[in-house]
Amino acid sequence: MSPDTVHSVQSVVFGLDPRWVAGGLFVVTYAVVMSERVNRAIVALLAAGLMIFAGILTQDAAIDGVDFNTLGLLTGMMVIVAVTKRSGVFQYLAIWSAKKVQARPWGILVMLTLVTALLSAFLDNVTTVLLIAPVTLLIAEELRVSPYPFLFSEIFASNIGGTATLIGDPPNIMIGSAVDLTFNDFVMNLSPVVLVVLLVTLVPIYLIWGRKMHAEPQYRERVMRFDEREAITDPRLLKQSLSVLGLVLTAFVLAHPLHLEPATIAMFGGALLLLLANWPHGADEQARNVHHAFTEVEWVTIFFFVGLFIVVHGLDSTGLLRMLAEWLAAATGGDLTVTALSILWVSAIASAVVDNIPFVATMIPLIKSMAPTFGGPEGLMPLWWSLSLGACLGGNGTLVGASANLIVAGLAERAGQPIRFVPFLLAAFPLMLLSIVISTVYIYLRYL
Amino acid sequence: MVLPHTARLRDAARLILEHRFRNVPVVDESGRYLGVVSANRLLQMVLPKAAFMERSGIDSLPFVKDTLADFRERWREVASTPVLECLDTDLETVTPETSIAETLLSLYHNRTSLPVVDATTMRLVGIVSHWSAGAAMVGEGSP
Repeated sequence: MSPDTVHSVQSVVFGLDPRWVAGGLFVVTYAVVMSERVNRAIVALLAAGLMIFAGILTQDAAIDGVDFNTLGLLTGMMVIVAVTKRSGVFQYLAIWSAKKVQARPWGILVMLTLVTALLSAFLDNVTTVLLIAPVTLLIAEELRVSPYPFLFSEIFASNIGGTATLIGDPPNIMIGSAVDLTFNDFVMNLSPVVLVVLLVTLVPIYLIWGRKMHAEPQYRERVMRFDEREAITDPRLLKQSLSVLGLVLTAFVLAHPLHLEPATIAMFGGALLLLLANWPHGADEQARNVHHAFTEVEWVTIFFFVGLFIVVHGLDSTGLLRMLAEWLAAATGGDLTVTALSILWVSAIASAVVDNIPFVATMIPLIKSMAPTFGGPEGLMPLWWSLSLGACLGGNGTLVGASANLIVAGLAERAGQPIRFVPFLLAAFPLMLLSIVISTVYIYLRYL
Repeated sequence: MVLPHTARLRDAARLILEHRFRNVPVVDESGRYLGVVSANRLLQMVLPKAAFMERSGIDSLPFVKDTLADFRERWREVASTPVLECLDTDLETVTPETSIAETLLSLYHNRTSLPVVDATTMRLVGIVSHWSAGAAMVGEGSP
């Protein structure tokens, strides 16, 4: 934020230093969100209100802090997916890929891992695992094999794949929006390392589980009898959905020359798909379908973002983050290599333990404040890629590291195959560290 | 027609198939009501678990081509599951004191036979079904 926002701070309650009030409010918000005792959207919205009541922000200033580009992109993509998934295309894809490898368990694991990574590069991670994990459970049940290794790989694939693009994971959406990075910037800078991380991750998964996987021929036969074409429940909707998805992705790639922001593209795509899918229907049915598509939007996440953006903006407007950035720059001696790699590793460890969304929301203004140290905004690029890789890949470290992990664990539990915290940690944390080591080498060789 | 708490799913299936019940109540050794095993629950046991997860996205299985032989095998595998593991305890119950109107409305809402449970002792005292309620209203011998 510009330095003059510091002076816009108004009279703060009881004449306390605004930095203390905002800082205290921020720490308490973080602690309550981490405790998971109160829904995170409630916490963030209450804290946002308190920032305004305390006089740190006016309502107008608070609204300025909300990144509507992030919110619009998330909401638009969620609407598109809500409509698209009714066509059955994702089940088709999962079954098709299982049959391509003659329903051999390790082959299926590799295929579903790749499909999950590819889908989560373009869709929200939680959505991706909600689409793929149930089909995985179905296939594993038919094969009479444990679904655990499959779900474990899919958790990893969703977080790894999501790192590759602007729209794959909320940290990237936030970074891209805050720093004006395009879809292509993310693909060019992150997808090479993401591909390496994904393939290398499969090696330990093979050594731990893959080489011992076996399914009886009669059970593989059951999966081979699956008819993926019958999974397509609405061919017309399928054509419409794939056309709109194709258009939206093309628009993301051409966004820069077209001068379009991601939220415009996603929201327009969502509205266009709703129009196509509802075109011949009467008013009542349209209302029902549109209502249904909107209920599939993760409103808890969206409102959490709203509150969080305001809280972080309040903190930022007091100048506290700028002070912290100057202190950090001094601590690292203004060395770009040390700063980039510190951000990568700290982000990874932090994101393994806490939600990466508030972490990234806080880091963005902090890193922006370091621009003078590293010769302007251009000099910050290695830091942004470090933040993205650390925050997205770090989510793999523990079962609570990312929402997708918890969603898969929840599905597995209901299918009678629970994923426990400690066993997951023992395999996942070293694997996550491996991905960060690969990222370290990549960042160092390419940018430092 | 009740099942002891030690019964297995095959016992429940036998009663349900023999008498065309929608569900059978399960009681403990002192006759206290524990819950019911429903015909629907038996269907659920032979179908893939993935089809019964909230928000799972698998609400239809047109692509699964399992044969009758496959389902027979699944049933053999689950038939000796204790009924206590498949108990439906959420089904509404009525008491001997429940009014006729309320009982009929409960039948309408639940679309299945309902256990009649004594409110103080929690013992199962009977079952009210669409058929028993209908017969009582129409009156024996009436058209």
